[in-house]
Amino acid sequence: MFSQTAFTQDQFIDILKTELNRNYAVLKDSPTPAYYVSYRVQDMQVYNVRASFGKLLYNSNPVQQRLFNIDVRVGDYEMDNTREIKGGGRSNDYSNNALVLDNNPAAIQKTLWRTTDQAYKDAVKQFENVKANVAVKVASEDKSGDFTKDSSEKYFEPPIPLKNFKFDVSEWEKKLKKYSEVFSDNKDVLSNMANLDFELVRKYFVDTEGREIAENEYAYRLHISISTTADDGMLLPLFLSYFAIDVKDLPSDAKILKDAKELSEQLSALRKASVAEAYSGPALMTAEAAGVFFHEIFGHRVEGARLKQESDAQTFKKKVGELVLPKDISIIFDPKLKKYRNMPLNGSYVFDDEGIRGQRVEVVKNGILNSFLMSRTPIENFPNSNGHGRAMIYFDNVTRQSNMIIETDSPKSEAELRAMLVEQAKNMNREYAYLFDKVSGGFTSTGRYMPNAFNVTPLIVYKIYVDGRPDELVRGVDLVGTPLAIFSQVEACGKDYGVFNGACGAESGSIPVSCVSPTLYIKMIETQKKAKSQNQPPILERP
Amino acid sequence: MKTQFKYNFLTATFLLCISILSAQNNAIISAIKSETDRNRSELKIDKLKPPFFINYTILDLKRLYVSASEGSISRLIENTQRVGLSNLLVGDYDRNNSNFRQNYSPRNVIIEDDTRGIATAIWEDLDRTYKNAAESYEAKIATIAQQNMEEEELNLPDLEKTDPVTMIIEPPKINMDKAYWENFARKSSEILKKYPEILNSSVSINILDNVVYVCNTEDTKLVIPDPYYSVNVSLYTVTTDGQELSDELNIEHGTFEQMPSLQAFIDTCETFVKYFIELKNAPIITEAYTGPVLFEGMAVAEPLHSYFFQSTLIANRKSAGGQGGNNTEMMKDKKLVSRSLTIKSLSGTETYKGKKLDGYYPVDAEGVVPDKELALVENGVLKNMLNGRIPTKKIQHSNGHMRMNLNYMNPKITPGNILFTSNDTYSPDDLKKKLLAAAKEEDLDYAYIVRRYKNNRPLSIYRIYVADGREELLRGAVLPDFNLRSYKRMSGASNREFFYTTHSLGNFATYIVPEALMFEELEVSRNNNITFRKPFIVAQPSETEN
Repeated sequence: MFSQTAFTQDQFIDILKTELNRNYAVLKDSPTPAYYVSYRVQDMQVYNVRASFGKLLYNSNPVQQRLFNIDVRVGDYEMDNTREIKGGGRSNDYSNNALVLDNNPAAIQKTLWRTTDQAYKDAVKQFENVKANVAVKVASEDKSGDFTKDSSEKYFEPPIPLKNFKFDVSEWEKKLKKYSEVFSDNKDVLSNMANLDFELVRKYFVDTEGREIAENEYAYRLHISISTTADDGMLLPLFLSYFAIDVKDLPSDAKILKDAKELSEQLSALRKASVAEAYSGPALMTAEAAGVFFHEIFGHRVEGARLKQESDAQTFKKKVGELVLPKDISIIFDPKLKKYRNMPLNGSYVFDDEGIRGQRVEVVKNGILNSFLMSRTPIENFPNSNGHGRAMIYFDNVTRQSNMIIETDSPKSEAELRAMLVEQAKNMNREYAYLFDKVSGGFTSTGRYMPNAFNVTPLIVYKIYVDGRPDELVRGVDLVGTPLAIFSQVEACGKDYGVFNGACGAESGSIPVSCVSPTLYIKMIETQKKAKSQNQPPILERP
Repeated sequence: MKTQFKYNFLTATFLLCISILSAQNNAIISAIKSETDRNRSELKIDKLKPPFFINYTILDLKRLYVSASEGSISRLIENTQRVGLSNLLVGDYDRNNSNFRQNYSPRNVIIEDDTRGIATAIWEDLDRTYKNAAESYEAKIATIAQQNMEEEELNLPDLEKTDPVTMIIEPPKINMDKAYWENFARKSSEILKKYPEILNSSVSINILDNVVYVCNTEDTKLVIPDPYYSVNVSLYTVTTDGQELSDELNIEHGTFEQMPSLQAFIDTCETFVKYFIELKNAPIITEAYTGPVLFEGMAVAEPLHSYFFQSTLIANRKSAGGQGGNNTEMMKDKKLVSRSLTIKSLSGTETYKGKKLDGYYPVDAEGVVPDKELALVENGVLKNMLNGRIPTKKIQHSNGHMRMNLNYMNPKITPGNILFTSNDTYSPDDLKKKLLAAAKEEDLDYAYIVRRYKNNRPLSIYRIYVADGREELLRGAVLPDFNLRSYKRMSGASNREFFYTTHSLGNFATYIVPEALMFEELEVSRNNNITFRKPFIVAQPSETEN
């Protein structure tokens, strides 16, 4: 669809470059010289449609805004103002800078000039803090510099006018009303929302190393959520989530309606399900749940810049070349992929937010740790970025995940995995094992001061009885543990693949990511009871 | 008895105002009515009291927001949403869960006029609110039982009884023509680009087509439009010594007809920007001063708004937990300010001397009609305070000021129209002469005139010299001892009136004030909290490129 090789200027890039070069020409010769400046801009047009129980909840015209972020570095590649202040914690200040939507050179340049001046002064002040901190604290374990030296590229995609998408608000209103109407007949459903976001973002990046990038991103994100309250007060949410880059990749109305009906029935069943007790033993994770599991316990621990922080637990930093997972498992991060096995991926991009081309990174090959995700913050033995510096426009970049793919060389069938699960449960004298079917997300702590633990929050969990009784739906458990212990228990993968397309929140804000995984068999997991509300279900029936 | 008569009268009056409900009004009002009635009669948890009063409000919010800078649009928002707010009380009028651990939190309501859909949102909200209210009521009773409260406080009812009011007002046509306002923003912001001294400028326009729907179990039914138009110009610059200056001009009204034409607004912007550049080039204040100070125009109204109507003249019942309360009420029938001053609330008055008052509203969010005229301070003596239906020790009746508030999305006691007068008035010339004479009497070479005042600081202050009446604009001043007590020592007021409208508290408030007001003695000094920034390192783009 796009010409991605020929470089063609557009007026807005010219304005950015003019102001960047004009400022840099002076700042590089200042008493504390700037050695690098970049301008990152996102031109955003967002539609949002919401409905509940068959009626519209919110209506808006597309919200348009052009936000930008400026990175000014003083010092040099070895040591600059971005270095971690030891004992000072890490801060990533929120900034909300906007430009006018027209290509009005005078207005744009004035705003960039004003903001660059402030960013430079802040950088100089911070650099003095860094130098003082380096002087008074012990030397860093990691002797690498503060900024990588990477080759620069120019890349241009022609702009896509919003009208090309023929986004029909009234048609989407009708669709969302239809999807959410499904839940009107189920009195167990206490709240519900069908939400569609269509986002067209044109990303610009220019810097003083010669990068000039204009890239388009667009996506449809459809989310249908419902919830109920069990008699014991437990709030039970369930959701359906669909992601597509092209509208034709979204499922048909018939499929969505069928999914919604099943979700509604599942919620009623879940409401009546018994509460699970704390457990340790074997478990299966469906493909989708396994993706979230790997994102939390593994993905965040191979984000390179994190491994440089003295406060980080650096779980895998010294394990390159070591076996960290079973030999048949490989983990790849690939932002270039837009689909995997025909499943659309949410964590795709051509260039990251530091103007570096997103690269495929085989982090684990046949169970052996090979590499890390890298932004332009180098770490020992990894002096270059592989295009994983990412951030919301309001924040500075840090190393983040993209599309994570878990692959296996020796996939097992569902029956084989079940057999392994039951066998292990029997060996451990367990009456049942767990199947984690659907999760809402999770979180993890990678620091040293708090336990280096993770928590994955399942929504749909089944007990699989060793005596062959039918699987039983249960509720109220969280999957918890510590990373190294759980990795040693990962035993086998399935043949099926599923994707969890979601948003990951961390230091640089919320960014889109994907986790693709097969079903996973783990010999030993631990669960704890989920925190729950103490509120009774509604007193009166829903009108 | 007096109050009872009053509301019977009002009921009779406002029943005449009922108009045929439109389809939209019908759906919303009937959904609120049916669901609040169902919940009042059926909500009940074993051993706990059921609700005795439910007031439900739905705000229908349509918004158009446009901002522009130097002739280009920077932001455009156009959306429609509805939010619902519940006030559910357990107990009775004498003792209920109000004013104790109570919090209003709005929830989203569907934007379609579907009775069942709206009722669903109300049902969910009331269930949550009832559980909180029932628990809160028991906690309040337990808290009171453990306190040795004054008899007077103990006997105060928790909610004043009022008669129901029905008032359905058809919403006016609001000009939300996007093309018109986009052009307005572009054109008016464009003129600012010819001033290189202005380092950042923007024009923003905010149009709200809001309607408030209220129904309660006392049988009050309200449909009250609450439209809002605002155009704003904001400016920023840095002085040669590094002081950052910013100021904004807001024009806010309830009807399109009151808003300036594009040309009139451009003229206003031109005048404002010229003043702002004059301020940029003005010297910074260096001498400390204590003496007479004259306030003019909006600088008369703004401090009144801040010092009197954000807390002082707002009744506030101390909660059973001991928090809150407003001790100003202890000054009732005592001198509060100079005997020359009188402050009246005219919230129920639509026009004053032929001018439309934006602060007028026909009924508040609790179904109480505000007085056409209510003396708050009479010849310096405190007579009354703005209140809603929660009586306080000294202010025991609502005067209809619990207004649906768009800033907080919950009801809040705020002023409507305020008439501030002095019985010690002078012509503008005589007042200026009086100012200079007072300065001379204090052996001062000059006095001060404040012409713009906001957020408790003078934005525009002029030195006026005793010798020749010459005026000099200064920057960097503060009035460290200017507060409510300053109004005890007044030296006179202009005999002309000035109208000022603000929406800063989330509702329209219109002040009719003397065009100028003279304080006998105030301190004026340099603001020591200013951080002077270093000059820009790179030259401004327009100076080199354009």
